[in-house]
Amino acid sequence: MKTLATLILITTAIFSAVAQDPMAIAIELVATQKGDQGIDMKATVTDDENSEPVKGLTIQFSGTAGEQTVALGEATTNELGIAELKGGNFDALRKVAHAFTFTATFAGNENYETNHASVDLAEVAIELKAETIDSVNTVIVNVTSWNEKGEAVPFSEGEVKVYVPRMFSLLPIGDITTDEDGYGELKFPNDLPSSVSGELTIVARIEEHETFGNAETSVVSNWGVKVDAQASKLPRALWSPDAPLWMVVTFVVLMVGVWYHYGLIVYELIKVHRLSKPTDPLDFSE
Amino acid sequence: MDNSNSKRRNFIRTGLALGLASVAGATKLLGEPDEKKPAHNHTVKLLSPDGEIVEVDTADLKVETHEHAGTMARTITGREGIEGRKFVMVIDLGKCRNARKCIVACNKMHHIPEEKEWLQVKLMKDNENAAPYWFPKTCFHCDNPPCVKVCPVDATFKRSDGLVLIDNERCIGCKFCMAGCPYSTRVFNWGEPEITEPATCPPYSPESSTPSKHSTVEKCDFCPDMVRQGKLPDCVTACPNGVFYFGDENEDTVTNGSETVRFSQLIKDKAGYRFMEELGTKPRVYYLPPSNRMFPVERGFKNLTDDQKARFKDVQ
Amino acid sequence: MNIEKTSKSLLKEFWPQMSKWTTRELIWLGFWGIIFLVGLYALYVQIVEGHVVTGMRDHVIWGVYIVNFIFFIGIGYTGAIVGGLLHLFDAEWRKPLMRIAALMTVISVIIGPLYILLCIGRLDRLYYLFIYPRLQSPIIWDVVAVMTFLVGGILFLYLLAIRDFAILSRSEETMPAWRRKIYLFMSAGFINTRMQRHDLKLALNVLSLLLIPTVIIVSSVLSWIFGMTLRPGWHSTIFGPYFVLAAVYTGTGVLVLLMYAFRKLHNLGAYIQERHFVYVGYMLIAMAAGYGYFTFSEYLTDWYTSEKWNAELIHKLMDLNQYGWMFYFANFAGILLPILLIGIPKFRSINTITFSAALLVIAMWFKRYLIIVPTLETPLLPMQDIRPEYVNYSATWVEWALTGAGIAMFMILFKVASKYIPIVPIWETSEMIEKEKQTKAATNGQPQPSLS
Ligand code: SF4
Ligand code: SF4
Repeated sequence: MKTLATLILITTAIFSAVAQDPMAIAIELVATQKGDQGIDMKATVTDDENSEPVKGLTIQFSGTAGEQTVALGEATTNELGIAELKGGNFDALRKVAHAFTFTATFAGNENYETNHASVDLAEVAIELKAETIDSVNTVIVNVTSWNEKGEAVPFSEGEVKVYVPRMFSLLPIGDITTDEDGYGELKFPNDLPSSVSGELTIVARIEEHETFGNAETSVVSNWGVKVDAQASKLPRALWSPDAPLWMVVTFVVLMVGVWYHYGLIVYELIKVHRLSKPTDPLDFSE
Repeated sequence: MDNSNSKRRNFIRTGLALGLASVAGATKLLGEPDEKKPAHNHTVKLLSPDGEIVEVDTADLKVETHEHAGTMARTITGREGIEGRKFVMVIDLGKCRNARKCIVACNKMHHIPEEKEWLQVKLMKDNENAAPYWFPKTCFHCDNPPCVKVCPVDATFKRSDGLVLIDNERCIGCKFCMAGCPYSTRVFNWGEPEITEPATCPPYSPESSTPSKHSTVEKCDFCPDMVRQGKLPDCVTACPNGVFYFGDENEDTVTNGSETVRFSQLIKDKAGYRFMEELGTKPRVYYLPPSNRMFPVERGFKNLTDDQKARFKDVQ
Repeated sequence: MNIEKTSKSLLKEFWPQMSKWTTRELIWLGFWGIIFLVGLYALYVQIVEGHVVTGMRDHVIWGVYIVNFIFFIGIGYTGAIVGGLLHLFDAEWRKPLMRIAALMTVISVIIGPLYILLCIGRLDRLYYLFIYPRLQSPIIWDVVAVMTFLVGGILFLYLLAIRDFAILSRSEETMPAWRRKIYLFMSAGFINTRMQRHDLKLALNVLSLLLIPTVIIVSSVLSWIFGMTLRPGWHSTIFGPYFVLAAVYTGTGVLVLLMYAFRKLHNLGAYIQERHFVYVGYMLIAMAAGYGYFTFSEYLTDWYTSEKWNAELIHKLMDLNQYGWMFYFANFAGILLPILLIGIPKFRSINTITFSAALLVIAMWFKRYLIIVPTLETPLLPMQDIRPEYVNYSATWVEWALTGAGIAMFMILFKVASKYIPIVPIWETSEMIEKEKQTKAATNGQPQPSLS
């Protein structure tokens, strides 16, 4: 009996080695709710064995509120094992309830086992306004959450971080702690450069809150200091493709000067040539 | 050079670039880059700009693989700068411990062998009484670049986004730019260049600067093909101490991957300066003085090979 | 005056030299030919393997090639400026030397630029210089300058030779018909009518006048390849005139050597006389003094102010363990010794003048080496490199072989040219001889005033 069991064990082991059982994976999910702009979801997939990112897996994103589940979309992992969904529409869920579960699922294939990850979020709404009050640029937030009865209540003592998105990352501007009415404000610097238009996007975020998870909203202001676009045109300079004018002029004058005289000399030679015939004898008189 | 001429030239170059794009497709079939990435769910200790040590989850770090622009449609000649940008770098000398991770990353990204260093870390000692310090040196992408001035064929050029790049398909290898650069930034391919991991090498463009071409000049390029995709240059992300800050001066923002700060504020607070300002080259790289050191200078010798140590024997 | 008779006798004297090759000459030619071929092989190696075969590396990016470039180009510029000046001053004694000067110009200006080509990694892209030129680059200035100057040099050689071509084409000596035809063609129909004389003289005057500023500009441009960089020892405002003077000084030294060589080999003692050596020797003294002055003021200012890198460089130059010996040789043997040897009447002779010339020519080559290499070995940032070939430059056999090839080319071209065109201009020398006869008769045997 014992030997039989060992035999079975060994066979399974051999089998699994040959058929290469699908590998287990781990999924890590980060979700950021953006109110009317939907939900951003980012799933990072690594294989269980050596924590390497897995590329090319299709991840399905879905959301659940109460009894209702909706598919939000799908994305494929890149070489960092990241699959991202931007602005998935979950309005249908928001009509049902104010608390959701978001899930990222991998259905499994011949190489990797199925797995899923989910996060629970309660809805939070950040109202963000960029207003100039007494000539001071002010960022005003009003954060609302919902109690169990489904009533809107202000979110007090909430930590809201304010950023301006830049080329590579978010530039922190400051933090706001909301008052008992869910309000808070922040003086916005008036010397922050923007693109040519003067527009600056302002982002307010609640980050890693235990009930609300991540939430984000943004507004476009015209508080940016305009950057001189003209400055990015290359002038005539030693280091640009076009030489300074004086240099071109000097060069042309010098070249014309020298080559004109060469021409003159050749012209004299032609004159010399025309003055005789090859059969003429040399004349040595002075 | 009049305008119509340069337009025609660009047209020709675009044609060439499109040709290269098809080659790009072919190399993609040959093999996908198989980058090894650190495990997630791990935290690493990082330095904030104020020198505080913070713990950050690696998943939150901008650790990016080098995705060359080869995957994008190749309509970029590399000669036009990225619209509206003016790139700038800040190097915090107080945090460098000669970990050489930047060099390794740079070499890997540009497929250049170990002995060729586009990015160097020098050991500087400003005078007899001064304390030595580690000095990472990239190309400074000078605004008044003496190297560009002297190039006879417009092979090395300054772009509107501040970058100084080299077109290795134009360079005639006269090395005049190497004489021109006062910072010994440029290197020459004296023989047939060694290209590491050629299978994953993208097609050549002045923005990828790779693969190396024999008998031409090359140097640090600030990874414009990464930057074009909104990703930081590899040295910035590779540095475990957040020494390199990179960003757009027009946005007044620089980041070292974990910390984003206003460029002007950083320069103001930490007395940023440009190396050898008196030469008038107007570098686009700023240094923060090696004050409030995070590491004793000796730390920099720890993981060096004997050969590498021997380089610094004159300083100690 | 009887120029006709004198010129006939001169040609008769020169003709055997011009019409056939002696065994000795052939051996000479073969010797340099072999050196030239070795150079060609080195060139092949360099093109196939790349510049790794040279001693140049990332810090010392230029080596003996650029030294040779400056050296030869400088010699070339001299022929034109010395010839042009003497022509304008109408110094009668110059006439026998003009051919050597003009030939020297053309031959050196052909060889010199070949060395800059050796510094270029991608010769296959050389034409980019013409299709993508950037006017801001001193290399473009130099390319244009050298080409412009070469045309001027060839015109100078040609204008000075027209009358000899006319003589040769109508000479009584036997020569193959094709040779006579070429001479006739080259003489441009010159038969010395009044109008032709006038036109030729005008052309020569214009060219001489033109060549002087051209040489100054062109050799300044050469110096600016270095002067326009932020490097210790290069970034100097006097580099333009410094290079002009260095060029002319070296070139005049080479002129003396050539005079000596042809005087000996072609038996030209009657035409290239002691006084020629003495006059050119005087010129050498003046130039040595000027050059010494420039050198002194250049090093003094750098040494006195001791800016970091300048001080480092000066130290390298004067330290006997580094460049000291070369430095003292270049500046004392190259400047002081010639002044003494030529300046003190007791020492002054054809041999000492030639010896001084040889000394200064070699010294000036080293001087150029001292300008190029130690500066490149003194970068602004610490090198911190331990690969010895990257830290210190030493030329490889390829570079020496190609240096030899340049000298060989100079020798061969001069020898070949001397077969087709008289080394001492016949017409002009006849003129001089006749004129001097006249003055002698007039002053009744009084000694000649030195400079005409
Ligand atoms: S550091 Fe050197 S190579 Fe870079 S831009 Fe400045 S001068 Fe040119
Ligand atoms: S080596 Fe190339 S990039 Fe440098 S100056 Fe010459 S042609 Fe221009």
